[in-house]
Amino acid sequence: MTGAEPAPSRGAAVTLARLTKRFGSVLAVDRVSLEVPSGSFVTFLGPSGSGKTTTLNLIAGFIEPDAGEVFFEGRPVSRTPTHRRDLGMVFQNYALFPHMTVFDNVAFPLRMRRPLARRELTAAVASTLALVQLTGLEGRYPRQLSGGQQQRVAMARALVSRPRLLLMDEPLGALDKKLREQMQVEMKAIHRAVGSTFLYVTHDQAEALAMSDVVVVMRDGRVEQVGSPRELYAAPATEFVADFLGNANLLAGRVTARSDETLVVALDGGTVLRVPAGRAAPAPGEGVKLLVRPEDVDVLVDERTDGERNALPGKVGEVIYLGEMTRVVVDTPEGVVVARIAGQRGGDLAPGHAVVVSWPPTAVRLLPRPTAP
Amino acid sequence: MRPARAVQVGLTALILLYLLFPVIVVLAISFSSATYLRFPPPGLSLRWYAKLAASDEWLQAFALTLQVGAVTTLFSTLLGVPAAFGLVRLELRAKALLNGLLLMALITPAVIRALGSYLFFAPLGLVNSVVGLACAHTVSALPYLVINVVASLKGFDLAIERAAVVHGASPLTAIRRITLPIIAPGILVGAIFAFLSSAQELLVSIYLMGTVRKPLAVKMWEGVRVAVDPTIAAASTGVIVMAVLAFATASVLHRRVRRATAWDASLPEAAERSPGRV
Ligand SMILES: Nc1ncnc2c1ncn2[C@@H]1O[C@H](COP(=O)(O)OP(=O)(O)OP(=O)(O)O)[C@@H](O)[C@H]1O
Ligand SMILES: [Mg+2]
Repeated sequence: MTGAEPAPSRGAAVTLARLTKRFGSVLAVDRVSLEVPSGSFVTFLGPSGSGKTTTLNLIAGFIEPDAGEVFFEGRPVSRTPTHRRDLGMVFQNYALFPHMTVFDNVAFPLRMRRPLARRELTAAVASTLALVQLTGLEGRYPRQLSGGQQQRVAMARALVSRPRLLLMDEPLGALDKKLREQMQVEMKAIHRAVGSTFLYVTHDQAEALAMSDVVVVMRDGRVEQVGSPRELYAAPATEFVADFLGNANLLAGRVTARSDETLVVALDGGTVLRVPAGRAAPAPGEGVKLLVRPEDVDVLVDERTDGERNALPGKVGEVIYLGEMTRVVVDTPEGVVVARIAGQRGGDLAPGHAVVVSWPPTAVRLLPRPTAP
Repeated sequence: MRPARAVQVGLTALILLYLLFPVIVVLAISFSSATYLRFPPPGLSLRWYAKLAASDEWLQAFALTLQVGAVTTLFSTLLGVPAAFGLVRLELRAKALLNGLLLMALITPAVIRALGSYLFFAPLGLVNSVVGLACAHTVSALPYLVINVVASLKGFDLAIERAAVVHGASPLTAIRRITLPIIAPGILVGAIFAFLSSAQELLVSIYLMGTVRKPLAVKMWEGVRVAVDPTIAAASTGVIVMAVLAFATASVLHRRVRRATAWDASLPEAAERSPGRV
């Protein structure tokens, strides 16, 4: 690196192979396997305690796995100590060096990794601070910065040596909603600009959907599902994923008949619906759950049911006006169904109204019904 | 001032007076014009300070105390800082036992510690030597360091050290550049306590130094028993000033450490200053 504008580095390809970590009786990470392509933006998403931080710490080398291995570019890294893994990392509380100025904080990785002449060092720090849109505060100490500014310093420090892999543990968690959304956009732009592989951790599903090429949904230390944001949202493999990514209406039932194209499902409340049979449709007798996203549900006041649509009668429970849309909660014989209706429709709905909720059968996703007792 | 606040201020003042009363008495007597210990002093003079400055014995006692104190502080710091890291960072089964042993050094009666030190050190030829006495003092000074550094380390966010390591610093470099400067105030306070504990130690010093060379504490003890004149008060004032200076130095150093550890001069670019720093 010579000039002020370093060329984008090639991101590291990362492989996790049956990575396992146990803390006492808790299996924090349980046989996690994953392929992270070079230069991609991959997010670990999961509820608190699902093992996201532990996975990141295993990749960084702060802790050692009980079993399994981490590979960078196909090479195992268990023998490589953390400081030689060529990483950048943004911590949840930033972990800036409190006794150093912004300049020294950002210069730290360069000083450790490749001693540069003063001019080059200053230029590299300046260009990285420009990348995170934080110029002119080089002489300040972390305690003299706002939370958002500290976050940018932490980003700059992680990026400045152009590591091939960047680890981020809920880096936006401490920011307010507006700033968080702004940083999500900037983070994507930075990712494109530097070309490193980004491994990101969050428990905020909107954040995961907004930024990632690939989302890894974690639950109890295991990988629940891996896919692009669209795949996960449109085709969740389990109820957990469906529920965790966005709102989901889940209707429990049992398959009563199957033809080539249609599946007849008797819901637990007695309603019978016809839905398209997918490729791996369950056989008659099997339990299923029907997933319908709220944005696919329509609420009609009159009784007219179009034979093409799946429909359930019900009573309006609540009407929540949210500006660009309205959330309508409807009590049906099959349980609560939530609809999101766009624009200003729904203004004439009020709790207690008898309505019909309906959706096109093609909007239904079939999920396995856990065979729990 | 509201009445509640007045009561608060009054109470605080009373407690401070109670705590500082011995110091005030000693300070006052050291400036006394009388030839015996009397409070309040009948008149003021500097004669006891003059006598102190003119006395080789007292000056040697001062010097010896400083030497032993410095070596004790050095030993306690070199042992105590790593010990504290071990106690906080390592998964030790014997942690409780180690903590107990450390505290034992604080609560063992001084006579027993003195006798034990003598019986242990005499065969090693460590009596009548500065290093020998410092070794013995280190036993009781060490806990002050360990306790202070352990407290600092427990309050230290490990993520900061990890941030250094993940960005290319070896574990030792990270501790040197990041952790130690941040917990420096805790180390300093511990070091000062260690020094003061050595400076006021009496029994171990008597056992290990005999009557040949006397550190201040021993000299003062003898002074009280043999010749009761305000020289002792002047010497005590010297000790008090030493303690106050020690704490003042610590706070100044602390501020300097904060500023200076921003970066050091071992790198080529550090010769010039960054534009952001004044
Ligand atoms: N050092 C530790 N000692 C003992 N248990 C631990 C330790 N670190 C994590 N755990 C446990 O391992 C599990 C996974 O923790 P982890 O921190 O990886 O979760 P997470 O997904 O990052 O959660 P969060 O969203 O709350 O940060 C939890 O049950 C946690 O209690
Ligand atoms: Mg976490």
